[in-house]
This record gives sequence, structure tokens and C-alpha cells, in this order.
Amino acid sequence: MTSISRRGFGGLFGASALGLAMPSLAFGAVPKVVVIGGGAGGATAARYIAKDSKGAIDVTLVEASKRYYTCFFSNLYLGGFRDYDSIGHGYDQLAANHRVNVVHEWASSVDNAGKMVKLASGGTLSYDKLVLSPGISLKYDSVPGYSPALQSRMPHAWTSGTQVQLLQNQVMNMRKGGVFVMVPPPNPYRCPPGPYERVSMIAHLLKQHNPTAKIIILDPKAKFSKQGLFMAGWEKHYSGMVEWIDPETHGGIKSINGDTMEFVTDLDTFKADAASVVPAQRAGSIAMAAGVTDGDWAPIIPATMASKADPNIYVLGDASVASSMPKSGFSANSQAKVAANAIRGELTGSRVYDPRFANTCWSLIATNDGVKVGANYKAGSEKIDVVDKFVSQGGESADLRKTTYEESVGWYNGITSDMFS
Amino acid sequence: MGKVNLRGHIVGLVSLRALAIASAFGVMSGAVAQADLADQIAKADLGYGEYLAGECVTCHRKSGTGIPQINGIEAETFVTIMQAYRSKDLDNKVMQMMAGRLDDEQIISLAAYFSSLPE
Ligand SMILES: Cc1cc2nc3c(=O)[nH]c(=O)nc-3n(C[C@H](O)[C@H](O)[C@H](O)COP(=O)(O)OP(=O)(O)OC[C@H]3O[C@@H](n4cnc5c(N)ncnc54)[C@H](O)[C@@H]3O)c2cc1C
Ligand code: HEC
Repeated sequence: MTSISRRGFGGLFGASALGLAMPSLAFGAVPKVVVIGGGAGGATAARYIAKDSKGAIDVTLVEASKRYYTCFFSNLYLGGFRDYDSIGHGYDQLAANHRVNVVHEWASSVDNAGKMVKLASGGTLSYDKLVLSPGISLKYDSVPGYSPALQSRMPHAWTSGTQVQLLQNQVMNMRKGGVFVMVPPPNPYRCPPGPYERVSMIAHLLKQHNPTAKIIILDPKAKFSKQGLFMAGWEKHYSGMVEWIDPETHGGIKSINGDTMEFVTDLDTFKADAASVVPAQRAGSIAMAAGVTDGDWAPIIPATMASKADPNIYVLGDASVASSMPKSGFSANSQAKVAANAIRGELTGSRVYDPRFANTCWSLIATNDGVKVGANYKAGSEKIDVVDKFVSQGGESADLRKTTYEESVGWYNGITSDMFS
Repeated sequence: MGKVNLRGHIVGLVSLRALAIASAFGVMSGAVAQADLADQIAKADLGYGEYLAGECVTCHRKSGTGIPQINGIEAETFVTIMQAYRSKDLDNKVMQMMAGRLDDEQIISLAAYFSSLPE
């Protein structure tokens, strides 16, 4: 309602006509921001907009789940380095500390012209600015034969939730000397090193409980993130256990049979005792519904993270086209702060500082053997561009690898408190 | 008490190296440079510091393991440490990269902001 009257005023006496930064302030209405998705991007955006505007902006966060189980560190759960509860987070503090209005519902569509979000329950929320950080949805049929019906037999465990518990259980129940098949996704996808960290953590489990078991990776990609570091780590810690097969060699997966657990390729038919299939990905469905995607992902203006299709919508995290920034929780959190700064500037006239982005992805290969890759970025006119980058090196000391792992634990605590506290 | 602990931590971590680096920079050498820095810190834009700090608190939080907490570090020490990461005299890839693109004004704004926070 408020935003409808605001639009009315705006039409009659626009901001420039009155010489005021914000008509809404002039008429006493508090501008509204709705954020869809309470993950790495959305929770951070809601928190920063609410915290820094100190009541000058009304922030509503729409998140389907009551608890957010981070995909980051879910591999560490898989390997037995974390318990499941320790990767779950609630939204109480966002409400209590920053007055974010948290709505646990599914957002089903967006009325761009009317600046309104429709909820699955039938309710609506009006906005002045809408932030979308819905993460990914899976293109199941990108792997022939894979489907939602197969996700309990061959968990993807690539979205927040209990899939990863299922996967751990299946690994633990493999027959002695059995075969685990991992199918990583094609580019671009959420968390480039993730599938290979997953393999490391499964190897870590199997080494203790089932040391004659094997892991076969049927990769659709000819190379992957931190490849040299992972391959050297597998050789060092899990010698003879992990076999990575590139697409040139296996010729592509022709079909999967969920009953027999068979993966048919040109090279061979692989029979698995347990498996994880991570299909290709695209932006979460609400980004499609809001009409901000071009193909699978949503193009953005680098300086603000505003959608190229609708100036009142901002797209963060995995769903956006952030060019050289990988789809990671760290990236989403970083982009959220840039957007929060821009949105506050637009709605309240607060000072907008230079946009800056960063990312670091840590991976754990074995106990106390952590590696990292990172970069920082600036907003170019068309793309987000790399300023500087680094990656762990082969042959680093055990001490440095341990420190790197410990840093990742510090980062986990840091980012989750930056999202939820 | 907290302050003493924190200083202890900084001394433990960066110890004499940081001080040596500081004098190599000329940042804290000489009364004039020091007075100048103190003056710049006093005039720093805290709002800018708070904005820039958004990049830091993804990793640094009030307490915890693995990454040191940086709230309440005395401003001039903070500047010295950041410049030492920037020049790669201190050795951590992440921090070298984060400090690498900060200019003096930005480091000073960050120092003013973080030093103003309770530990
Ligand atoms: C195995 C694995 C390991 C990873 N490890 C790391 C790591 O070490 N470091 C790192 O930085 N990143 C890591 N990631 C990547 C990271 O999890 C994602 O990049 C990050 O979560 C993206 O944030 P986001 O805000 O885009 O989406 P998400 O965090 O997925 O948040 C989206 C949220 O939106 C909600 N939602 C979606 N649509 C709607 C709707 N219509 N209505 C209501 N709610 C909705 C969902 O419930 C979800 O909570 C990892 C990912 C995986 C799978
Ligand atoms: C990706 C994670 C990460 C980010 C982002 C980050 N830091 Fe750090 N920081 C670290 C780690 C790890 C250390 C410990 C490094 C070492 O051992 O030398 C550290 C150390 C420091 C120290 C020394 C503290 C002490 O007690 O010795 C300071 C000061 C510091 N960082 C400031 C910052 C500032 C300012 C920013 C933002 C511009 C920032 N950091 C961003 C990870 C990070």
C-alpha cells in the first residue's frame, strides 16, 4: 500500500522537481526492500540494509526454510569433521537485532510493473527495491537418466538440506571394496572446487571404514579448479583409491540406471555401490519468473548488482552473471554488501562508496591439509574484473596447510555471523 | 585485560618484524611522521572505514579460532600491520591480497574504524 501511494506522489512531484533526494522521506513513508532467499547473498543483504539504514528502510526477507544448512562445510560434515547441527543457522537474530521482517514462505512470482512479490500462500509484498538471491535450480536432465526421482538413490547434495546426510549414510553402507561414482557438473556451477573436495572427504571416510573401496569421477570437464592440488593430495593421502576420468576418455555419460546403479559411457559401464550426481545448473526459479534472466543466469550491472533487465531488481550470488567471480558463498556475501550500499544510496540518499568484491574458496583434502584460491575484483563497465589473485602451491609445508585449514574454520564463523548475527 | 591479551597476540604474531617493517616504512619512525599519522587517523572518515570493513568481517569476527579478531587494535599498530601485508613483508596470501589494493587513506580509515570498536 505504502509503495503505491509513494508512486503516486513520485508521479506528481518527482524527486527532482522538489529538489529532494527522496520523496518517500519527504512524505514520511519508509521505503521498502524485499529480499528473496535467505542464503549467503540474501541474508547478508537483508542484514546490511537493515543494520546500516537504522530503521530508514523497511526490510522483509522471504525464505522458504526455517533453518539454513550451509552448503559450505557440508563436505566437512560428510568427512566427519563437523556435525550436522553445526552447519545449521536460524533467522531469529536478524529479526531481533536488526528488525528484519522474516517471512518463511515460498515466493512464486514477481509483478515487475506493480513492484509486488506474490507468495505461494497467496499473500503479496510490495517493494521499492527487490533483491533476488535464490541460489540455483538443477537441470536434472543434463545427465541422461537422472531425475528428481533418482535423487535419493544418487544424491546431488548440491542445495541446502538433508541430501548430504543421505549421501553420508550411503557411503558408510557401501559394501567392502565397493565403488563410489561421482559425477561433477559442467561449467558454470556453484562452488567450482566443491565436487573435488567432496571426493576428498568421501575418500577420507572410506580410508577409515572401507579402505579397499574405490572412487571413480566421471567428469564432463577436461579440467577443474585446483586440479593439481587435488590430484597431488589424492595421491598423497588416498593413493590408488581415486580415479578421475576426463570426458575425452569416457566419451560422455550416455545413460544412468537407478535400479542397477549403472553409468553407461563409451569407455565402459560403471556399476556403483553408491553415487553422487550433480547435474548442470541455472538460476533459482524466481529469477526466471521475475524475467531477469538471459538464458540460465541473470546479467547484472557490476557497480551495483542491479539487474540489466529491471532497475528495481538486484540479483546476487549464484543466480547472477558475475563473470570471473566464482559462484560461492563468499562471492555472494561480497556482492550483497555492494548491493546494500547501492540500494541504501538510492532509497535514502546515503553516501555510496566504491564497489569492491572479493572471494576465497578453501578446500579440505585430508585432516589438516587445507588449500585455498582467492581473488579480489572491481566493477568494470560490463564485467566484474579481477584485480589480484592467489592460489595455494604444490609442496607447501604441513604447517602451512594446517594453518590454511584453520583459516577456513575462522572464515566459516566469520561469514555465518556476518549473515545471521 | 582484553587489551593486554590482544597486544600480546599481536606481538606474538607479528612481533619484532612488524616493528622493523614499520621503521623501514618510516611510518612510525620519527616523531613528525607519527604525529602526522595520528593526525590523519583523527581526521579519517569513519563511515568509509565501516564500509571498507565489510570486506574484512567476512573473515574477522569478534572472537573465534583460525583468524585473529581485529577489533580494538590500536590505530597506528593497525596501519603498520596493514602496510606490512601490503608490501608482502608479512606473509599471508589472503591478507597480502586484501591489503594489496588498499591505499593509505583506506588503511587509515580502516584503522580509525576498527580501533574505535570494543574488543
Ligand atoms: C558442496 C558445496 C560446498 C561449498 N563450499 C563452499 C565454500 O567452501 N565456500 C564458499 O564460499 N561457497 C561454497 N559453496 C557455494 C555456496 O554454498 C553458494 O555459492 C552460496 O550458498 C550461494 O549463495 P546464494 O545466496 O546465491 O544462494 P543460497 O545460499 O543457496 O540461498 C538461496 C536461498 O533462497 C531460498 N529460496 C530460493 N528460492 C526461493 C523462493 N522462491 N522463495 C523463498 N525462498 C527461496 C532457498 O531456500 C535458499 O535458502 C559450496 C557449495 C556446495 C554445494
Ligand atoms: C579471507 C579472509 C580474510 C579477509 C577477507 C581479511 N582478513 Fe585479515 N587476516 C586473515 C588471516 C587468515 C589473518 C592471519 C594472518 C597471519 O597469520 O599473518 C589475518 C590477519 C589480519 C590482521 C593482523 C591481526 C593480528 O592480530 O595479527 C589484521 C590487522 C587484519 N587481518 C586486517 C584485515 C582487514 C582490515 C581486512 C579488510 C580489508 C581483512 N583483514 C580481511 C584473513 C582475512
